[in-house]
Amino acid sequence: MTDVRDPLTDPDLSPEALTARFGRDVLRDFDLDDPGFNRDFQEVMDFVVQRCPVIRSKTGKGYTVFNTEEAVRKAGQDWRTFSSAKGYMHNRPDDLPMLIPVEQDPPNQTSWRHKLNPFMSIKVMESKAELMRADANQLIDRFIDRGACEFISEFAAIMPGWAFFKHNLGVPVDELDMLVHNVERGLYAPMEERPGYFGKVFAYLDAFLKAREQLPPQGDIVDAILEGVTYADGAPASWDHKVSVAADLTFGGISTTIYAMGSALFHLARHPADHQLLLNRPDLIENAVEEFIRAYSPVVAMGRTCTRDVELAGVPLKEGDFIMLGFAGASRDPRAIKDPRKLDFEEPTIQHSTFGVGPHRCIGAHLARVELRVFLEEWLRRIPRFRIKPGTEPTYETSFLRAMGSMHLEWDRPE
Amino acid sequence: MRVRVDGDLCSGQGRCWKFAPAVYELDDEGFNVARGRAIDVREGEEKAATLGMKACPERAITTAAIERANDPAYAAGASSGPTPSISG
Repeated sequence: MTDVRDPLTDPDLSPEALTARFGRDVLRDFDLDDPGFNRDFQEVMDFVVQRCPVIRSKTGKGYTVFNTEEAVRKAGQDWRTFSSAKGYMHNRPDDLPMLIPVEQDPPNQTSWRHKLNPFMSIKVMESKAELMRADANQLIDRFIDRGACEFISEFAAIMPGWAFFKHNLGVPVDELDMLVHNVERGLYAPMEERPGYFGKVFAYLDAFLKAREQLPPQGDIVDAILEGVTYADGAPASWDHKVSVAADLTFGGISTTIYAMGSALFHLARHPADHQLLLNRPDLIENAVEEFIRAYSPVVAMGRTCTRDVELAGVPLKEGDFIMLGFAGASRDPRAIKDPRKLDFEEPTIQHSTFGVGPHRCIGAHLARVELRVFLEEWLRRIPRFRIKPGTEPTYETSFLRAMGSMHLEWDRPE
Repeated sequence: MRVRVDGDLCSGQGRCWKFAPAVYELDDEGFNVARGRAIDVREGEEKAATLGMKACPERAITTAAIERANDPAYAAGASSGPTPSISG
């Protein structure tokens, strides 16, 4: 099943063979931002994970991507050796403000997580399920009679924003389109344009927090951010850090959830047996969510900086080297998961790295799970039969995250 | 059956609780309350406890039988004996 031969002698892994197959030597000259990687994403990822799971990029300052479950887990958990404090983005532009706490290490990162975790726990998120269910239905109401929709702009790009901003941050929803647009461009625009979009999001959240500071406390996550934390050196977290915390939460949850929703429906549209199984057994939806996010991980890879010379998965690394933890690959790693390319909604214990491992584990994981569950429950209840509009296919953008840009769906209109 | 929850590795993924809420309790932040300790699993809960253990992406939960002798929590009697300590 797993076939890792010496890249120096394996003819399939020669620069010529890889270039002929993928248009690029994805082992020695990989590029997350290459349009070819966006186009052939799943094929490249599956090949790499199985045949040459540690790949190098020469772009910018260079980086190495580790795509096995074991390497991702070990590096993710060993934050002392693999630090987040220099950022998680490959070739990070210097003028991009740091995101707090994701681009911090313990103990300061831990202080923020202790502050924020109680607002993002499983139990709190489950308690908001019915609010999210109402959102899903409100959106479906807008287009169900039309018998068609562009799923991303009419549904998937809206519901996660509502879930996060309305039910967690309390941002007025009429400002959401602007915010979501800037978040999206901040993540996928050409690298040199990203700081500009980031800046707009930061400016909005700065004003939002300033306005909230003038209001009586509401006991929510915004108040927790405003209260802030005390860092290990005794200094309180700065105002800029508080704005950055709000931005980090914002960037984390929108584009990623859009991709998960779109991938789930795209999978069902192409796999009639899986589709029928969920129609027959809605009780499997919760489990199916785990399979969708395992097989179609929205996070391709998150970076770390080596704090010392170290070896990972047999690869020697130098202090200062930038590595990336390939969450998407790790969740389809045949060394850890039996038959990883097949989705099995009846497999009870689905293990995956989609939400990351270690102290930076996605704080929005439980929000995402509830959102995805109620979305699928309502969608399959109200639009059980749907298809990809003939002659169209979903569009994608890929960098360290993978995003779906559009997907046209059709269904028979209710009589 | 006895399982141990690693104090450093638990990151609040919450998968253990999903499969075995009677065995694995979560604190307000979503961490396993038994972080750094062992849990005696009640009879009838073993299957759920095993599912929860297998679902942990951090591999923070392990069967404790082999490490009992070196487990300070066990040696100190903090959660020893046949009755469940955490799940009870």
